[in-house]
Amino acid sequence: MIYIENIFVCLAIPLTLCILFIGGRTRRFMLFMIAGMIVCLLSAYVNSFFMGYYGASATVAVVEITPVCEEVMKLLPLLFYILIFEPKVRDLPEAAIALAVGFATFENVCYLTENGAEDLMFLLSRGLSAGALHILCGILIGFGLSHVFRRRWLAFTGTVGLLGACIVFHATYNLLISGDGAWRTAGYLFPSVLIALLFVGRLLLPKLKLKFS
Amino acid sequence: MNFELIDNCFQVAVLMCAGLAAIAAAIRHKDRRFLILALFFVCVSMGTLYWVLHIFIFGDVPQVFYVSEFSWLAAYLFLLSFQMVRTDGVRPLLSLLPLACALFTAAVVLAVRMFGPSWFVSGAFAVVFSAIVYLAAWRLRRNGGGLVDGWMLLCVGLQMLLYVVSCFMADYTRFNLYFAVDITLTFSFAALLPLALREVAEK
Repeated sequence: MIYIENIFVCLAIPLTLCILFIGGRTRRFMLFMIAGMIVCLLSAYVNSFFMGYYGASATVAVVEITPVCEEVMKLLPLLFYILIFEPKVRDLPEAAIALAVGFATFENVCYLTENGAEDLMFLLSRGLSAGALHILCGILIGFGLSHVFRRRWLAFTGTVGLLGACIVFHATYNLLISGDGAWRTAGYLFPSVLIALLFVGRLLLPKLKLKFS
Repeated sequence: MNFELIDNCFQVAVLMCAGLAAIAAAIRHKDRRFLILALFFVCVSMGTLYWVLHIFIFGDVPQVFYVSEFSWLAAYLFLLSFQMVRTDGVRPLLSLLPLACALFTAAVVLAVRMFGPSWFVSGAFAVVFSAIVYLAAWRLRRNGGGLVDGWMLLCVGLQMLLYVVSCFMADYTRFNLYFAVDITLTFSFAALLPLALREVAEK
Protein backbone atom coordinates (compact mmCIF):
# COMPACT_ATOMS: atom_id res chain seq x y z
CA MET A 1 0.00 0.00 0.00
CA ILE A 2 1.25 3.47 -0.82
CA TYR A 3 0.05 6.75 0.68
CA ILE A 4 -0.58 8.71 -2.49
CA GLU A 5 -2.12 11.66 -0.64
CA ASN A 6 1.15 12.11 1.27
CA ILE A 7 3.15 11.88 -1.94
CA PHE A 8 0.86 14.46 -3.50
CA VAL A 9 1.33 16.88 -0.60
CA CYS A 10 5.10 16.47 -0.78
CA LEU A 11 5.18 17.16 -4.53
CA ALA A 12 2.54 19.86 -4.73
CA ILE A 13 3.76 22.12 -1.91
CA PRO A 14 6.97 23.33 -3.64
CA LEU A 15 5.06 23.85 -6.89
CA THR A 16 2.30 25.77 -5.09
CA LEU A 17 4.89 27.92 -3.30
CA CYS A 18 6.63 28.79 -6.55
CA ILE A 19 3.30 29.94 -8.03
CA LEU A 20 3.31 32.78 -5.47
CA PHE A 21 6.47 34.22 -7.03
CA ILE A 22 5.98 33.69 -10.76
CA GLY A 23 3.46 35.05 -13.22
CA GLY A 24 2.14 34.92 -16.75
CA ARG A 25 2.34 31.81 -18.88
CA THR A 26 4.81 30.04 -16.54
CA ARG A 27 2.33 30.39 -13.68
CA ARG A 28 -0.49 29.01 -15.83
CA PHE A 29 1.72 26.09 -16.89
CA MET A 30 2.56 25.33 -13.24
CA LEU A 31 -1.10 25.57 -12.21
CA PHE A 32 -2.09 23.06 -14.86
CA MET A 33 0.73 20.76 -13.78
CA ILE A 34 -0.65 20.77 -10.23
CA ALA A 35 -4.15 20.23 -11.65
CA GLY A 36 -2.77 17.20 -13.54
CA MET A 37 -1.41 15.79 -10.27
CA ILE A 38 -4.75 16.34 -8.51
CA VAL A 39 -6.55 14.62 -11.40
CA CYS A 40 -4.14 11.67 -11.14
CA LEU A 41 -4.89 11.38 -7.42
CA LEU A 42 -8.66 11.53 -8.00
CA SER A 43 -8.41 9.04 -10.89
CA ALA A 44 -6.89 6.52 -8.49
CA TYR A 45 -10.01 6.79 -6.28
CA VAL A 46 -12.38 6.52 -9.26
CA ASN A 47 -10.48 3.52 -10.65
CA SER A 48 -10.61 1.78 -7.26
CA PHE A 49 -14.36 2.45 -7.05
CA PHE A 50 -15.09 0.90 -10.47
CA MET A 51 -12.70 -1.97 -9.78
CA GLY A 52 -14.66 -2.81 -6.63
CA TYR A 53 -18.03 -2.19 -8.29
CA TYR A 54 -17.37 -4.60 -11.17
CA GLY A 55 -15.26 -6.99 -9.08
CA ALA A 56 -12.51 -6.67 -11.68
CA SER A 57 -8.99 -8.02 -11.31
CA ALA A 58 -5.97 -5.69 -11.40
CA THR A 59 -5.17 -6.66 -15.01
CA VAL A 60 -8.74 -6.10 -16.23
CA ALA A 61 -8.78 -2.75 -14.41
CA VAL A 62 -5.53 -1.63 -16.06
CA VAL A 63 -6.67 -2.66 -19.54
CA GLU A 64 -10.35 -1.73 -19.51
CA ILE A 65 -11.23 0.62 -16.62
CA THR A 66 -8.16 2.84 -16.04
CA PRO A 67 -7.87 4.33 -19.57
CA VAL A 68 -11.53 5.40 -19.58
CA CYS A 69 -11.46 6.92 -16.07
CA GLU A 70 -8.08 8.64 -16.47
CA GLU A 71 -8.83 10.22 -19.84
CA VAL A 72 -12.28 11.43 -18.74
CA MET A 73 -10.79 12.87 -15.53
CA LYS A 74 -7.98 14.60 -17.47
CA LEU A 75 -10.48 16.28 -19.76
CA LEU A 76 -12.55 17.79 -16.92
CA PRO A 77 -10.13 20.60 -15.82
CA LEU A 78 -9.50 21.45 -19.46
CA LEU A 79 -13.24 21.70 -20.14
CA PHE A 80 -13.61 23.93 -17.06
CA TYR A 81 -10.81 26.16 -18.37
CA ILE A 82 -12.38 26.36 -21.85
CA LEU A 83 -15.93 26.99 -20.69
CA ILE A 84 -15.22 29.42 -17.83
CA PHE A 85 -12.09 31.31 -18.93
CA GLU A 86 -12.60 31.14 -22.73
CA PRO A 87 -8.84 31.04 -23.43
CA LYS A 88 -7.13 32.09 -26.64
CA VAL A 89 -6.57 29.36 -29.23
CA ARG A 90 -2.79 29.34 -28.68
CA ASP A 91 -3.17 28.79 -24.90
CA LEU A 92 -5.11 25.52 -25.18
CA PRO A 93 -2.36 23.10 -26.31
CA GLU A 94 -0.04 24.45 -23.62
CA ALA A 95 -2.67 23.88 -20.91
CA ALA A 96 -3.47 20.36 -22.16
CA ILE A 97 0.22 19.42 -22.28
CA ALA A 98 0.92 20.86 -18.80
CA LEU A 99 -2.01 18.85 -17.43
CA ALA A 100 -0.62 15.70 -19.06
CA VAL A 101 2.89 16.39 -17.72
CA GLY A 102 1.56 16.79 -14.15
CA PHE A 103 -0.46 13.60 -14.48
CA ALA A 104 2.45 11.57 -15.90
CA THR A 105 4.90 12.91 -13.28
CA PHE A 106 2.65 12.03 -10.35
CA GLU A 107 1.89 8.60 -11.83
CA ASN A 108 5.60 7.89 -12.26
CA VAL A 109 6.41 8.98 -8.69
CA CYS A 110 3.69 6.66 -7.34
CA TYR A 111 5.06 3.87 -9.53
CA LEU A 112 8.58 4.45 -8.18
CA THR A 113 7.34 4.43 -4.58
CA GLU A 114 5.56 1.13 -5.14
CA ASN A 115 8.17 -0.70 -7.23
CA GLY A 116 11.54 0.79 -6.26
CA ALA A 117 14.12 2.53 -8.41
CA GLU A 118 16.80 -0.11 -8.89
CA ASP A 119 16.36 -0.98 -12.57
CA LEU A 120 17.41 2.11 -14.55
CA MET A 121 16.72 0.64 -18.02
CA PHE A 122 13.20 -0.41 -17.05
CA LEU A 123 12.46 2.98 -15.50
CA LEU A 124 13.88 4.73 -18.54
CA SER A 125 11.61 2.81 -20.89
CA ARG A 126 8.61 3.28 -18.59
CA GLY A 127 9.30 6.99 -18.17
CA LEU A 128 9.66 7.43 -21.92
CA SER A 129 6.60 5.42 -22.89
CA ALA A 130 4.10 6.37 -20.16
CA GLY A 131 5.24 10.00 -20.26
CA ALA A 132 5.03 10.03 -24.06
CA LEU A 133 1.56 8.48 -23.97
CA HIS A 134 0.06 11.12 -21.65
CA ILE A 135 1.73 13.93 -23.55
CA LEU A 136 0.51 12.44 -26.83
CA CYS A 137 -3.06 12.49 -25.49
CA GLY A 138 -2.53 16.08 -24.27
CA ILE A 139 -1.27 17.14 -27.70
CA LEU A 140 -4.18 15.39 -29.44
CA ILE A 141 -6.77 17.11 -27.24
CA GLY A 142 -5.02 20.50 -27.14
CA PHE A 143 -4.21 20.87 -30.82
CA GLY A 144 -7.42 19.15 -31.91
CA LEU A 145 -9.63 21.56 -29.97
CA SER A 146 -7.66 24.66 -30.90
CA HIS A 147 -6.93 24.02 -34.58
CA VAL A 148 -9.47 21.55 -35.97
CA PHE A 149 -12.67 21.71 -33.93
CA ARG A 150 -13.10 25.39 -33.20
CA ARG A 151 -16.79 26.26 -33.57
CA ARG A 152 -19.58 25.54 -31.14
CA TRP A 153 -21.24 22.29 -32.32
CA LEU A 154 -18.04 21.13 -33.95
CA ALA A 155 -16.25 21.73 -30.64
CA PHE A 156 -18.79 19.47 -28.91
CA THR A 157 -18.53 16.54 -31.33
CA GLY A 158 -14.76 17.10 -31.61
CA THR A 159 -14.19 17.06 -27.84
CA VAL A 160 -16.08 13.82 -27.30
CA GLY A 161 -14.45 12.31 -30.39
CA LEU A 162 -10.96 13.26 -29.25
CA LEU A 163 -11.73 11.86 -25.80
CA GLY A 164 -12.63 8.52 -27.44
CA ALA A 165 -9.42 8.62 -29.47
CA CYS A 166 -7.34 9.26 -26.34
CA ILE A 167 -9.10 6.43 -24.49
CA VAL A 168 -8.33 3.90 -27.21
CA PHE A 169 -4.67 5.05 -27.51
CA HIS A 170 -4.24 4.77 -23.75
CA ALA A 171 -6.05 1.42 -23.58
CA THR A 172 -3.99 -0.04 -26.42
CA TYR A 173 -0.77 0.99 -24.64
CA ASN A 174 -1.97 -0.53 -21.34
CA LEU A 175 -3.05 -3.69 -23.17
CA LEU A 176 0.30 -4.11 -24.90
CA ILE A 177 2.37 -3.61 -21.74
CA SER A 178 0.14 -6.13 -19.93
CA GLY A 179 1.33 -8.76 -22.41
CA ASP A 180 4.68 -10.51 -22.47
CA GLY A 181 7.78 -10.32 -24.64
CA ALA A 182 7.23 -8.72 -28.04
CA TRP A 183 3.82 -7.30 -27.05
CA ARG A 184 5.36 -5.44 -24.13
CA THR A 185 8.23 -4.13 -26.24
CA ALA A 186 5.73 -2.93 -28.85
CA GLY A 187 3.79 -1.25 -26.04
CA TYR A 188 6.85 0.63 -24.84
CA LEU A 189 7.81 1.66 -28.36
CA PHE A 190 4.39 2.68 -29.67
CA PRO A 191 3.89 6.02 -27.85
CA SER A 192 7.58 6.93 -28.10
CA VAL A 193 7.60 6.40 -31.88
CA LEU A 194 4.38 8.38 -32.30
CA ILE A 195 5.70 11.30 -30.26
CA ALA A 196 8.97 11.26 -32.23
CA LEU A 197 6.94 11.41 -35.48
CA LEU A 198 4.89 14.28 -34.07
CA PHE A 199 8.07 16.12 -33.17
CA VAL A 200 9.42 15.68 -36.71
CA GLY A 201 6.05 16.93 -38.00
CA ARG A 202 6.30 19.95 -35.72
CA LEU A 203 9.70 20.79 -37.17
CA LEU A 204 8.59 20.28 -40.78
CA LEU A 205 5.10 21.79 -40.79
CA PRO A 206 6.12 25.47 -40.29
CA LYS A 207 8.28 25.14 -43.43
CA LEU A 208 5.18 24.03 -45.38
CA LYS A 209 3.32 27.12 -44.02
CA LEU A 210 0.27 25.04 -43.30
CA LYS A 211 -2.95 26.66 -42.19
CA PHE A 212 -6.04 24.49 -42.39
CA SER A 213 -9.19 26.03 -43.84
CA MET B 1 -6.50 -18.74 -37.21
CA ASN B 2 -10.25 -18.03 -37.40
CA PHE B 3 -11.77 -15.72 -39.95
CA GLU B 4 -12.74 -13.07 -37.37
CA LEU B 5 -9.06 -12.28 -36.76
CA ILE B 6 -8.25 -12.23 -40.49
CA ASP B 7 -11.17 -9.87 -41.15
CA ASN B 8 -10.22 -7.57 -38.28
CA CYS B 9 -6.53 -7.45 -39.25
CA PHE B 10 -7.57 -6.67 -42.82
CA GLN B 11 -9.80 -3.82 -41.57
CA VAL B 12 -6.99 -2.39 -39.41
CA ALA B 13 -4.51 -2.47 -42.32
CA VAL B 14 -6.88 -0.94 -44.90
CA LEU B 15 -8.10 1.85 -42.63
CA MET B 16 -4.63 2.70 -41.29
CA CYS B 17 -3.50 3.15 -44.92
CA ALA B 18 -6.61 5.27 -45.59
CA GLY B 19 -5.77 7.34 -42.49
CA LEU B 20 -2.22 7.98 -43.70
CA ALA B 21 -3.53 8.91 -47.15
CA ALA B 22 -6.04 11.29 -45.55
CA ILE B 23 -3.22 12.99 -43.57
CA ALA B 24 -1.25 13.39 -46.82
CA ALA B 25 -4.38 14.86 -48.47
CA ALA B 26 -4.85 17.26 -45.54
CA ILE B 27 -1.27 18.53 -45.93
CA ARG B 28 -1.57 18.78 -49.72
CA HIS B 29 -4.94 20.54 -49.82
CA LYS B 30 -4.57 22.43 -46.50
CA ASP B 31 -8.10 21.34 -45.67
CA ARG B 32 -9.12 20.23 -42.19
CA ARG B 33 -11.90 18.03 -43.59
CA PHE B 34 -9.22 15.50 -44.48
CA LEU B 35 -7.73 15.72 -40.99
CA ILE B 36 -11.16 14.90 -39.57
CA LEU B 37 -11.50 12.04 -42.04
CA ALA B 38 -8.04 10.79 -40.96
CA LEU B 39 -9.21 10.84 -37.33
CA PHE B 40 -12.27 8.83 -38.40
CA PHE B 41 -10.13 6.16 -40.12
CA VAL B 42 -7.65 5.99 -37.23
CA CYS B 43 -10.40 5.64 -34.61
CA VAL B 44 -12.19 2.83 -36.47
CA SER B 45 -8.94 0.93 -36.97
CA MET B 46 -7.69 1.56 -33.40
CA GLY B 47 -11.00 0.26 -32.00
CA THR B 48 -10.64 -2.88 -34.09
CA LEU B 49 -6.93 -3.17 -33.21
CA TYR B 50 -7.73 -3.02 -29.48
CA TRP B 51 -10.33 -5.79 -29.95
CA VAL B 52 -7.89 -7.98 -31.89
CA LEU B 53 -5.03 -7.39 -29.44
CA HIS B 54 -7.29 -8.26 -26.51
CA ILE B 55 -8.13 -11.57 -28.19
CA PHE B 56 -4.44 -12.20 -29.03
CA ILE B 57 -3.06 -11.33 -25.58
CA PHE B 58 -5.81 -12.55 -23.22
CA GLY B 59 -7.59 -15.00 -25.53
CA ASP B 60 -10.95 -13.36 -24.77
CA VAL B 61 -12.99 -10.26 -25.62
CA PRO B 62 -13.13 -7.27 -23.17
CA GLN B 63 -15.57 -7.82 -20.30
CA VAL B 64 -16.07 -4.56 -18.35
CA PHE B 65 -15.78 -1.33 -20.36
CA TYR B 66 -15.93 -1.79 -24.13
CA VAL B 67 -13.02 0.46 -25.06
CA SER B 68 -13.43 -0.44 -28.75
CA GLU B 69 -16.94 0.95 -28.69
CA PHE B 70 -15.73 4.28 -27.26
CA SER B 71 -13.34 4.36 -30.21
CA TRP B 72 -16.03 3.52 -32.78
CA LEU B 73 -18.35 6.10 -31.24
CA ALA B 74 -15.50 8.63 -31.52
CA ALA B 75 -15.06 7.60 -35.16
CA TYR B 76 -18.71 8.28 -35.94
CA LEU B 77 -18.49 11.60 -34.08
CA PHE B 78 -15.65 12.52 -36.43
CA LEU B 79 -17.79 11.46 -39.38
CA LEU B 80 -20.54 13.74 -38.04
CA SER B 81 -17.95 16.54 -37.64
CA PHE B 82 -16.92 15.93 -41.26
CA GLN B 83 -20.55 16.38 -42.35
CA MET B 84 -20.85 19.52 -40.19
CA VAL B 85 -17.77 21.08 -41.79
CA ARG B 86 -19.15 20.25 -45.25
CA THR B 87 -22.45 21.91 -44.28
CA ASP B 88 -20.61 24.92 -42.83
CA GLY B 89 -22.24 28.29 -43.53
CA VAL B 90 -25.63 26.72 -44.25
CA ARG B 91 -28.18 26.33 -41.50
CA PRO B 92 -29.94 22.96 -41.94
CA LEU B 93 -33.65 23.66 -41.49
CA LEU B 94 -36.20 21.17 -40.30
CA SER B 95 -37.23 18.97 -43.17
CA LEU B 96 -39.70 16.11 -42.91
CA LEU B 97 -38.11 13.42 -45.09
CA PRO B 98 -34.58 13.71 -43.56
CA LEU B 99 -36.20 13.80 -40.11
CA ALA B 100 -38.15 10.61 -40.89
CA CYS B 101 -34.91 8.93 -42.08
CA ALA B 102 -33.09 10.06 -38.92
CA LEU B 103 -35.88 8.82 -36.64
CA PHE B 104 -36.00 5.47 -38.46
CA THR B 105 -32.22 5.13 -38.02
CA ALA B 106 -32.46 5.92 -34.30
CA ALA B 107 -35.33 3.43 -33.90
CA VAL B 108 -33.37 0.62 -35.61
CA VAL B 109 -30.23 1.33 -33.57
CA LEU B 110 -32.22 1.22 -30.32
CA ALA B 111 -34.30 -1.80 -31.37
CA VAL B 112 -31.23 -3.92 -32.26
CA ARG B 113 -29.35 -2.28 -29.34
CA MET B 114 -26.36 -1.71 -31.55
CA PHE B 115 -23.08 -1.55 -29.64
CA GLY B 116 -25.08 -2.73 -26.62
CA PRO B 117 -25.86 -4.17 -24.10
CA SER B 118 -25.57 -0.72 -22.47
CA TRP B 119 -28.55 1.53 -23.23
CA PHE B 120 -26.32 4.56 -22.76
CA VAL B 121 -23.91 3.49 -25.51
CA SER B 122 -26.76 2.44 -27.84
CA GLY B 123 -28.49 5.79 -27.17
CA ALA B 124 -25.28 7.69 -27.95
CA PHE B 125 -24.89 5.77 -31.21
CA ALA B 126 -28.55 6.39 -32.07
CA VAL B 127 -28.08 10.17 -31.65
CA VAL B 128 -24.84 10.27 -33.66
CA PHE B 129 -26.09 7.98 -36.46
CA SER B 130 -29.38 9.84 -36.83
CA ALA B 131 -27.54 13.21 -36.95
CA ILE B 132 -25.27 11.90 -39.74
CA VAL B 133 -28.27 10.53 -41.64
CA TYR B 134 -30.24 13.77 -41.16
CA LEU B 135 -27.44 15.95 -42.52
CA ALA B 136 -26.75 13.62 -45.46
CA ALA B 137 -30.44 13.29 -46.38
CA TRP B 138 -30.99 17.04 -45.94
CA ARG B 139 -28.07 17.84 -48.24
CA LEU B 140 -29.27 15.32 -50.83
CA ARG B 141 -32.78 16.79 -50.76
CA ARG B 142 -31.64 20.41 -50.78
CA ASN B 143 -29.32 20.52 -53.76
CA GLY B 144 -28.90 16.98 -54.93
CA GLY B 145 -26.00 16.77 -52.46
CA GLY B 146 -22.90 14.99 -53.59
CA LEU B 147 -21.75 11.43 -53.99
CA VAL B 148 -20.24 11.74 -50.50
CA ASP B 149 -23.68 12.23 -48.92
CA GLY B 150 -25.10 9.16 -50.64
CA TRP B 151 -21.98 7.21 -49.68
CA MET B 152 -22.33 8.35 -46.07
CA LEU B 153 -25.86 6.92 -45.99
CA LEU B 154 -24.50 3.69 -47.45
CA CYS B 155 -21.81 3.46 -44.73
CA VAL B 156 -24.34 4.01 -41.92
CA GLY B 157 -26.71 1.52 -43.56
CA LEU B 158 -23.96 -1.11 -43.85
CA GLN B 159 -22.92 -0.60 -40.23
CA MET B 160 -26.51 -1.15 -39.13
CA LEU B 161 -26.85 -4.16 -41.43
CA LEU B 162 -23.68 -5.61 -39.91
CA TYR B 163 -25.28 -5.58 -36.45
CA VAL B 164 -28.57 -6.97 -37.70
CA VAL B 165 -26.68 -9.79 -39.46
CA SER B 166 -24.62 -10.46 -36.32
CA CYS B 167 -27.87 -11.25 -34.45
CA PHE B 168 -28.33 -14.30 -36.71
CA MET B 169 -24.73 -15.54 -36.70
CA ALA B 170 -23.24 -17.92 -34.17
CA ASP B 171 -20.05 -19.12 -35.83
CA TYR B 172 -17.35 -16.53 -36.51
CA THR B 173 -14.56 -18.96 -37.35
CA ARG B 174 -15.42 -19.33 -41.06
CA PHE B 175 -16.36 -16.93 -43.83
CA ASN B 176 -20.08 -16.05 -43.77
CA LEU B 177 -22.50 -13.20 -44.58
CA TYR B 178 -21.29 -11.19 -41.55
CA PHE B 179 -17.75 -11.00 -42.92
CA ALA B 180 -19.01 -10.19 -46.43
CA VAL B 181 -20.85 -7.18 -44.99
CA ASP B 182 -17.87 -6.21 -42.81
CA ILE B 183 -15.41 -6.28 -45.72
CA THR B 184 -17.83 -4.24 -47.84
CA LEU B 185 -18.12 -1.78 -44.96
CA THR B 186 -14.32 -1.49 -44.71
CA PHE B 187 -14.05 -0.69 -48.43
CA SER B 188 -16.97 1.74 -48.19
CA PHE B 189 -15.21 3.61 -45.37
CA ALA B 190 -11.97 3.75 -47.36
CA ALA B 191 -13.83 4.97 -50.45
CA LEU B 192 -14.91 8.10 -48.54
CA LEU B 193 -11.43 9.55 -49.07
CA PRO B 194 -11.31 9.46 -52.90
CA LEU B 195 -14.89 10.74 -52.96
CA ALA B 196 -13.99 13.64 -50.67
CA LEU B 197 -10.91 14.35 -52.83
CA ARG B 198 -13.13 14.41 -55.92
CA GLU B 199 -15.50 16.81 -54.18
CA VAL B 200 -12.63 19.16 -53.33
CA ALA B 201 -11.26 18.93 -56.90
CA GLU B 202 -14.70 19.77 -58.35
CA LYS B 203 -14.95 22.88 -56.20
